Amino acid sequence: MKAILDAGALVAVDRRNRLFGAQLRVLQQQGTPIRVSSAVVGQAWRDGRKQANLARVLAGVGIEALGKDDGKRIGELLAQSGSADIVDAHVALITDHADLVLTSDPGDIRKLLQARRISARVQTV
Amino acid sequence: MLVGHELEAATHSGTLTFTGPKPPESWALKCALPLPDVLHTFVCDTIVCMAQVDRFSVTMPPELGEGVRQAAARQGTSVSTWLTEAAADKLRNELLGAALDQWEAEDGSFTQAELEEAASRLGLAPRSDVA
Repeated sequence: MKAILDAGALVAVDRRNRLFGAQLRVLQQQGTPIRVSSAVVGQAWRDGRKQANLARVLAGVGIEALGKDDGKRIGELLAQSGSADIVDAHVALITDHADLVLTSDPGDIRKLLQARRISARVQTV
Repeated sequence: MLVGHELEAATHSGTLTFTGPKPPESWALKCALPLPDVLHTFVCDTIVCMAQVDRFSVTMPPELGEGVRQAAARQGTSVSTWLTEAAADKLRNELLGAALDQWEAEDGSFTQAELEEAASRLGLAPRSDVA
């Protein structure tokens, strides 16, 4: 099992949300691998000089880059799910069975995961 | 037998070993790095294409080794790739721990109540045996 962060999760880190920090601590203590889409990083990252907490946390997170075939896979997933958000679609693509997605947008993520027939837990940040 | 794009992908990731007849010289051009930076070593009918790799000889109990092989097979990946990902996850976990240590140093430690609520939200039990 791994945990996937979306932009809402990164914003929570940036704003030093203590409850979300505690969730990261629990995951870290459990040894749960944590992943984030590079596109999601693009949504939350603005200025590293002002985002020290986010920068430190990201150093401990696996960043999944968009691959050369991912554009087509994302487009096909958006078509299947009737969605339009490219970043959410990449989040869904890097999610596997039994993973945990930490998101501020659970509805859209669930819709995309259902289109992929992926059974994962979606937790609202 | 691996073909061009697989050779190229494997070169990006590190080490490639395949068996079969010695490939044509043109295969070398499919390696991602300039030829002077790429080492091709022919061992009998095996070619090893290396770029930016660190080789380890790892020992572990046989049952663990078999578990690793089976886990790699389940993921459809090589043992090297599986172990690389496991090592990367372990190192990232240490970095995340250090980041959270710094967060707590600046803002105060997460309380037991906060950790319990966090674990409850995650559907996990907090561990009391680790810092």
